Amino acid sequence: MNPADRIEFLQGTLDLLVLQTLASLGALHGFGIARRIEQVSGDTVLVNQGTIYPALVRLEEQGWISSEWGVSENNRRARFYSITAAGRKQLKGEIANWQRVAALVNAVLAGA
Amino acid sequence: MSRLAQKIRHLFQRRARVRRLEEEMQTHIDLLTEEGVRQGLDRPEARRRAHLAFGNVLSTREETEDALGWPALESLAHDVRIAFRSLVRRPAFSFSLILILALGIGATTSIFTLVRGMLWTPLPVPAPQELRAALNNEQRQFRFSAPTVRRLEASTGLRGRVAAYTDVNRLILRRGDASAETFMAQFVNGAFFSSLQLSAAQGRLLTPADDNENHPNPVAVISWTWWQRKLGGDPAIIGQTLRLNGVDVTVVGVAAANFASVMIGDAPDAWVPLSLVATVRAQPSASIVSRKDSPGLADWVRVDNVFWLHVLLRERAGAPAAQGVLEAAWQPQLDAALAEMDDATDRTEFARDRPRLVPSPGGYSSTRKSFRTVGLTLSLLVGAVVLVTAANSSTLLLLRQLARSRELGVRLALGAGPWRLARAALMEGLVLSLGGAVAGGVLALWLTPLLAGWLVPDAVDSLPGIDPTLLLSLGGLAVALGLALGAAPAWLSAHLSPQTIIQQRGAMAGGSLRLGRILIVVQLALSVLLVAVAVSLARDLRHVLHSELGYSRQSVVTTFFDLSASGIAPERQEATARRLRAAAAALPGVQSVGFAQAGVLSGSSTSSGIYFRGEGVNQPKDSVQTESIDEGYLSTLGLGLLRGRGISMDDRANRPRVAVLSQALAKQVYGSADPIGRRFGFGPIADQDDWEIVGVVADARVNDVREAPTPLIYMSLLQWQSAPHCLAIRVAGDAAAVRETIRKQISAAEPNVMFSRWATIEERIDQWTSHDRAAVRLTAGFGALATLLAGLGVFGALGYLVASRSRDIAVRLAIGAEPGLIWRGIVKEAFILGLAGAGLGLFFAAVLPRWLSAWMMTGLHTDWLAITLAVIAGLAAAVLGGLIPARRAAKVDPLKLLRAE
Repeated sequence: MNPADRIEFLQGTLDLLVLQTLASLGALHGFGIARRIEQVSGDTVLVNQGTIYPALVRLEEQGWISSEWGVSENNRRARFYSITAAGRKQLKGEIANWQRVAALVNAVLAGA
Repeated sequence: MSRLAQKIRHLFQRRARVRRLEEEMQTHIDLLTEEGVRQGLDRPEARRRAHLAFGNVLSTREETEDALGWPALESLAHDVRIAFRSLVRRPAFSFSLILILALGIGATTSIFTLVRGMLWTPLPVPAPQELRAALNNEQRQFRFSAPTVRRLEASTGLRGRVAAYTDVNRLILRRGDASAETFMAQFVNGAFFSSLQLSAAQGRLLTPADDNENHPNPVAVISWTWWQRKLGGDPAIIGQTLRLNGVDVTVVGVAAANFASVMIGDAPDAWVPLSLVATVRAQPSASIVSRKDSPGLADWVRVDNVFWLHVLLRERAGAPAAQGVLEAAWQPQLDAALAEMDDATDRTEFARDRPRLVPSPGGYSSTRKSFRTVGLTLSLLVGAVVLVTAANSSTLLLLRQLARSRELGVRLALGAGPWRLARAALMEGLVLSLGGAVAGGVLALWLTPLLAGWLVPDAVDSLPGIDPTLLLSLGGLAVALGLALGAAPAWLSAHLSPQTIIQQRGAMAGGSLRLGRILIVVQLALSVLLVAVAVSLARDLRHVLHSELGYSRQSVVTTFFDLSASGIAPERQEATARRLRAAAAALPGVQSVGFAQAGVLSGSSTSSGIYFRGEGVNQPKDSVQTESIDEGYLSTLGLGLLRGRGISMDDRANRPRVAVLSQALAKQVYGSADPIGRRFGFGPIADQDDWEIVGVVADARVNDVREAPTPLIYMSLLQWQSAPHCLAIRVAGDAAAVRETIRKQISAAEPNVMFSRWATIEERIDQWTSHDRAAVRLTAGFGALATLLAGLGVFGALGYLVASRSRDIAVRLAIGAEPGLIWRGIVKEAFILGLAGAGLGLFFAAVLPRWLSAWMMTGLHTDWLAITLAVIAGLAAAVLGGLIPARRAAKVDPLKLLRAE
């Protein structure tokens, strides 16, 4: 696919997607999260799958997700991430905020 | 709070977390690969696609690490490690850069320490800004009579705010059974300490009640330094007695540790009340205006025509202007002096010198005035050297970064961020400059006393050390230098892109070179100037050391003594001197013995107004230096008699008064006429007490080895009625070999006489020129350093040029240019730089001595041989600096270079 078709990410948007993914699917390892985001977005979001790792570290630093070792589907040791209570609260706020911003932008674009 | 705790925990678990994330990313890639294999790709292709999908592993890892709490700290340590590693890999390069920086920083610190100590350090008293010193028209301390000081103390404006003091006097101290030692005492008024608001470290300080001639129990306050050095800080000293010139004085206290003196560079061992000056028979310097015999020491505290006290006042806002109060108190002393003068011109001249109060928060220093110009000039010079050093080092770092650009390009291509590379360059600059700062600090510890000894010899002891704020600013300077050093290479790194580097290296040759060249020219000029000064000073010194002094160098030992201060009663002094002469003459190997009042290279001299009688004489405008000697002195010193006779044993007090003139004086006064038989006196009118000239001796440099021979009148000690202070002994052969034997035997023969400064004339010349030698060493060191720096500068700039043009050079070589042509081109560039620098340096060196001598005595003159040598050295440095890049350019292999691209 042409890289130009991929969506330029606003800082923090990836964090929001990771939180949402974990909230809806429960504990996942990095590969799983990346795969899920690609599936949902139809391959338009992640330029590089590696970019979710800095996002995971950031979220864990904030205390919004936690992680523990587990075993992946092909029997490899993998780190499984899950959303924390603080993360859910944050996600709720972020979603509300996102919708407000999106509604506003839509309204402006519709008006123009 | 728990977030912080978590962060700290994470910080400690960092390594584990980094490893964990690496493992996660690896798993991620493996999972992607297996997915590809399942979809039917072969494994290598699947792995390639997995990497493509994952993205740059290196930069992801870097980003991830950055996201892991407090990345700055971790990557700082990382950067420092990298910088160290890269510097250690090129030890010669790093070492020379650190050395250059250390020299620059060390020199700056030393100069700054001196400047601060000399110009900016206030006395350790409350409100030092209130202090005023009374100076004369020549900016030296004004001398006042004791009554003037009392009038000041009694004035309403300055009551309790007048500190009066003499110069520091050499006394003889005996403690218990210990042998005699020299003791420096300053006589001060009773309110000295209270006016300054000083406090005692032990016991109490002097009070006005102590300053009383009839005090049954004289007291003194000792200095902290003396207390520590001689008594090990023993508190039992309070209440004990010191025998000063044979007089028992009770120690009542120790002055504060940080207070050394009100006169910078002249720190006494003790402060003693003024009223004791006659009791202890001290002889402070004084100006006496009297047409009769000078007043006796005992009268000094009473009379208005002996001027021997300096004052430091405290001027408070709201009080009557101290200048007016001072002038009113001084007027009677002026009147008293004028009443003693006959000549109207003398009177006008004398009245012209008035005391002027000058803010003196740091007390008074005789060296300060001359140091201000020297110190500030040196600061500027050193500052310029440091600036140029920094620019130079930066060029060298830049050059090296350029040489590494291929490596950097590879690192960039592998995904290292440009900012990371830039940071590495900055870090190298910082590590280098901090290394330089540490080495420079150590250097400064060693250099400061050396510089002080040269620039402000009499203030060495009272200068403060290198203080913490200075070290702090040194650290700041180092960081600034480091950033400046790293800036150009960092800029280069940040603007690199893998393609530009790997494809072509010529892209960076820019206009930044122009500034670099100007710096190099200035630097070369500075080095030429310094070398010229060093060579000129060295040649002067050589000239001095080899010039004819007028007296023997090798075979004469001299020593100084003071019979009065040694506690020998006036009536026994003549007998003691006779015994001393006999004891010296009896020693084996001694050829002759002589006494003099001052002696040669002694640092002391006397002079008087002289009136030569008769027609056709050319009266000297200034007073003439006099020396009184015994019959053995001229021959002992080897002062050659040119005409008539010398002083003989028969020239006693009751005989006609005779004198011998030095050749310079005879010529100055009488021209080619014969001076023998002519007369002179100390008053304007001829009388029967006049002196007759009986001989002429060869000229000699008696005061200083550098000056022109001194015009001098020699008289008989017995007729001039002065005490001998210098004993000269001529031996067969080298005096240095027997000096110690002579010293021991003479001291044993006359144990009551305190001798000081035993030395041969040769050794005295060495001491006398030690500052000149230090100056030569110092300027030679700076000159060599500057020349080396300038050469390195040329090397750096042309190296940069060659490195950035290597592609052009390769092309030129490939199409058939002679390597010699390329080589010559680069050397020519170096030569042009050298010519420009040497030309500018020539101008500096030719103009500077004249310019400097406009404000101070430097002894510098325009020495064309020195300048020529310096210009040659500068040119040589430039050409040598250009040779290596030139060779490198000529050796560019077009095939290799072009193939590499």
